[in-house]
Amino acid sequence: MNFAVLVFPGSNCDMDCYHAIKHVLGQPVDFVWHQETDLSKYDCVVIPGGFSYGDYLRTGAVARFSPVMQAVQEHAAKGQLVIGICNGFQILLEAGLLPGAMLRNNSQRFVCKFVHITTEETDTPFTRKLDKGQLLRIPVAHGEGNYYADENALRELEANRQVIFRYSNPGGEVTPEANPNGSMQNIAGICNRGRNVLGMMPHPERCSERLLTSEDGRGIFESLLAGTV
Amino acid sequence: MAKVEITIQLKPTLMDAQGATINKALHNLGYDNVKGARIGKFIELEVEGEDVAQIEAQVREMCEKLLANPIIEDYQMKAITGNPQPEVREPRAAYAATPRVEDWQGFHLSVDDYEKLSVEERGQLHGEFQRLHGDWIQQQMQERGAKWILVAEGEVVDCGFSWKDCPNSLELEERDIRAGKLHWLFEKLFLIEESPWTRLGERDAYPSLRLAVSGDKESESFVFEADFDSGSSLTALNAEDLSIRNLLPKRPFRTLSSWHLGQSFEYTILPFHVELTDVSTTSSSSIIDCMVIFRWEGGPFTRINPCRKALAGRNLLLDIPASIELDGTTRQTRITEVKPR
Repeated sequence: MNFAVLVFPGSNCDMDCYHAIKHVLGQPVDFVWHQETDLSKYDCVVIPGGFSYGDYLRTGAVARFSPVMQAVQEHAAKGQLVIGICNGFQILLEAGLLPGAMLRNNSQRFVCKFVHITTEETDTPFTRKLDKGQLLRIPVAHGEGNYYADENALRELEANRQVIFRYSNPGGEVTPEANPNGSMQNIAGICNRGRNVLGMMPHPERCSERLLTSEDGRGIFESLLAGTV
Repeated sequence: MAKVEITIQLKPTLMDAQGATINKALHNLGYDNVKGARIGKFIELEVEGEDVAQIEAQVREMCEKLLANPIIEDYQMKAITGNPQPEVREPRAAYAATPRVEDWQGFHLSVDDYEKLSVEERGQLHGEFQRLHGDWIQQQMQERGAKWILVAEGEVVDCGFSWKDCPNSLELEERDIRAGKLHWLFEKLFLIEESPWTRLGERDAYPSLRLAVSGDKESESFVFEADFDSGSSLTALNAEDLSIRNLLPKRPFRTLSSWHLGQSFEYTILPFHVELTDVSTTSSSSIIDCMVIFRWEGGPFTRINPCRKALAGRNLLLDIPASIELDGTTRQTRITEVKPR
């Protein structure tokens, strides 16, 4: 499966994504600079974490207008796969490819630690190799991960089972204490109506190898490979 | 042309954690009557155009598309027309304001009080002014193209283009007394940080400078340590050292005679190519007229320091501007910076 890892000025998790895909999964992957306008040869587009455009104005606010994002819109419209991690999730939100917005962590702090997330839905290309309710131990590192959506949007998300990951404690319970940033309903990752675009705040590329103390993120990448699309 | 001011705030229904934090911080400062704080953004745009309504409509689009996120933010905008001048806000006064030249204590010292100071104290004062207002000194010299300036009460009262007509201490004293105020002499030779030098013992050495001296053929240079004496106006080299390196011209030359420290000596003056290298290995060189001293050993130049090989004086550094650190206590000399010509 052909992967593209987008690179914006200020992206810094692009190398980790590239490594996970190329060396851990053994899949063909390219770095794609944000000025590119053709993503047709790729099956899955990865928007990595970092501080695109220095998080100026709002995180992801400027990156969403990069030329490549037009191609990402078309790519998603065709039903192809897009996964946005951390800053990538923020960019997808600003671009309108996913509903809602990100606010600053309620603690006002940049949170960098391992958390647990539960897998809410397994009928997506990102979670089909996981079990429903499966717990993943996965790191987060963000200052703006406080997911917000208004009442209507939230209702729709729940109705359409678009919430894919929620922050939970090691026992799998979704509690306020387990929420690292105050995001609504402990939402850690969501997908779009078409279930081909996923955004998540935690970093699966940082836990896809035993060497990095947790392999729990690997399941997400392997899910991607497990079907034709 | 219009200036458009935009304020962006989080929607009122959203919890503003930043605002809550600032609220608490204000309480900690004692402002208990602050009952709420919300933090927003302020953006100022300068937009070209004739029609204010059109400008406003455009800016509204900008707000909707980029400047505000409609899911979580509200915005307000105000267009100000008629060639708005950007407001120049004075920067907040620094807590430690830079001292003014004219306020320096040396300018407010009476001649009598100055006479009471020891040599060290006077040197320290002089050094203090260099430290505080070194760039002012530089600027004054540069503006006049002067090699030295005479400053009284923060004003340059005299200057000169050659170190030869620099007033000596007697002349300065006269001026001080005549005018009733102190005159401070600053010379554009170089920067020297010098601590008072006292000999530590019989065979104690001066702080020294490493010089590379060569004749016509620059490739054949010889390097030696020359005592650096900023009180000496000339640079003196040992004739024999030069001779065995074939640096003395073969033709006969006239020797002159003079006195130093109560002893006579014979010399001639010849031009040599002298090079100084600083700690960052930048070099600069010049042709310097050097005193070539015959019978160096046993002569007056080895009286104070019997180990002296050569003497570097101020004329050297007039032509090769360099910054030198001299430490009389540790005997370390460092050429910190040489400015290539």
